[in-house]
Amino acid sequence: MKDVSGAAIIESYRHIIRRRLAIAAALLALLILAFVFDLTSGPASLGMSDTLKAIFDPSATTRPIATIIWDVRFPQALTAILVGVALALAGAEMQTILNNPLASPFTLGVSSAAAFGAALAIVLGIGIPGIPQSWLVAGNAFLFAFSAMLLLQSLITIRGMGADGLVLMGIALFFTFNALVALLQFVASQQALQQLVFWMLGSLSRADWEKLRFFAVVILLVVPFTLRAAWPLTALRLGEERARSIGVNVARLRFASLVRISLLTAAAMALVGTVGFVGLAGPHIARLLIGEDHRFFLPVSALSGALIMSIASSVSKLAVPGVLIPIGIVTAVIGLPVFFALVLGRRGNW
Amino acid sequence: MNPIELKVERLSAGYRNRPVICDITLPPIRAGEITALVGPNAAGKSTLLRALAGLLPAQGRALFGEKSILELSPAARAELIGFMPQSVPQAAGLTVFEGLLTALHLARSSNRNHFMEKATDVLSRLGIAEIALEPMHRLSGGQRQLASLAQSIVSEPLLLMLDEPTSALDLRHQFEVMNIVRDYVRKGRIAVVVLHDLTFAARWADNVIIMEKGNLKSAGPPAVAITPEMLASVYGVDCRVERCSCGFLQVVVDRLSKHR
Repeated sequence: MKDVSGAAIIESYRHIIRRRLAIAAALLALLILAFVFDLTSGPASLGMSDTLKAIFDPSATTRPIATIIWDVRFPQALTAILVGVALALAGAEMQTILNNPLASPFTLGVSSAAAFGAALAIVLGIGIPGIPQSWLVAGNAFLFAFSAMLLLQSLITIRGMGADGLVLMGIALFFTFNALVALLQFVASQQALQQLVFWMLGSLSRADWEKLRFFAVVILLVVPFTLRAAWPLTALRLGEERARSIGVNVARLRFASLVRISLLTAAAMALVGTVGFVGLAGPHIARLLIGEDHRFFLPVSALSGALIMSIASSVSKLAVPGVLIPIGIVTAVIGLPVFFALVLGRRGNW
Repeated sequence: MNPIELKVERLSAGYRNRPVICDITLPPIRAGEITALVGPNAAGKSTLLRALAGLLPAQGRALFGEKSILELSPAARAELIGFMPQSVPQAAGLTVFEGLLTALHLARSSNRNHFMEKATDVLSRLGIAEIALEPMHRLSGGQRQLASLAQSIVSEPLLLMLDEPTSALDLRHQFEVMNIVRDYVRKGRIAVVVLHDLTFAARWADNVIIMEKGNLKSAGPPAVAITPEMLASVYGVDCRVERCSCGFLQVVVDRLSKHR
């Protein structure tokens, strides 16, 4: 007969915790490998030794190589990782607060709002007054994505809606902003239209150190709060009534989560445009690997998202020699079959 | 010293634009006793329980000793009241043990040093230690209900409010659960339990509160509150209330009442 003494349960649970830590460590190791590989890949054929030399001993390498590594590949590779972290964390929180496995940072129309902000800047040149030209598109995307989420939150607060109401209002916003983007596409010049489509496909080529610094600050500000909410978010998986009955202020938790989700998503989209799938798949992979204890689920989602983005970044440079495929296309093309395999191969619920 | 009581006076609660219970006053609910809330569907039993547990906005007074439980913060209320919802979500990818640890971590009163021991102790008491590390989505309805009950009692709140805690359980587990609730209240705590089965309520409850359309219809020990006349009036059925050989009340329904 199975040993079910208290001591045996505690020992088995500790074993599960050790296994989860090992999975997180393995993902981190894979991420470091993917990052180094991403640094070595690109149109300029630099080998591993050239890359490592440029990183650890820049004086021993030529200036063009140092420039390629430090000013092009490094910011792009880091941006890929940070975008993966941001979108996967935002997706994980979104799936939990909406109690919906199909939710992602884009479910509530955030991507459409960001696209509309970008379209305003690209097509009509309208942007935040006083902002530098190089930040016009990114600034607009951030502003509109964040404002859309605040609008959504205000509407559901006024009407006292729950998760279902939030999804419905989000879908309404999604279609509204999509229609507005379509309108701007309709009136856009050929050049502006091309630029807008390229933005909407998502690309790491817009990354530079300045934007990366801004993004890193957003992540550093938001992520500690996300991790701090791990227990209340875990409680929400036990059902809203249960969470409330054990002292979680669900309305406040949902509001704080939406603010964090909108900040992470808006910052990621401002930097690279629309990159789908990561926010959906990162949390699903994490759930599959370690379950839904958010103390582990959130960090492992972030690591999974970062790993997907880092691999996608390399593939976007290597798939067609000499051509940098927009990363949004790569994440969708390579990610979806993997995702289907994971979901279809899974037993039980989400 | 008198044992501590829960007093509910002129309580009103409901949902947006839909009041369900209006101005209800209950006889004092004493520590050490199980009180069953019974009544037909939509009588307001769950609404009353949820209002007392702070899950619905309510007006009126609900005093536990000197504490007004309607005015407590969510955290303070959670420390005092263990609530078991009627429905338990199926999709949670948490294990039973993780559910208990979560409840303990969020309960302010818990001693943080012995969470795991407390959790395993409750699982053993409920006889579900063997499913401790099973994800909840793999459990049967009855097992999920037992896991939910474990979450409600693991932090040992003084007030236990259970909404149909045995609805998905087989006969043996129904008996075991109510035995656990009985042991729980013996330590000077209160349990208010929503039940549908009147014979079952009469078997386990010290007092029964019968509700209809948001109002109190009858209250008292089972033998006083549960009468054929009352049941005909509230449920619209002709029935007998008899004592079985063990001395417990039994409600036997003969037919639908003609005069309703």
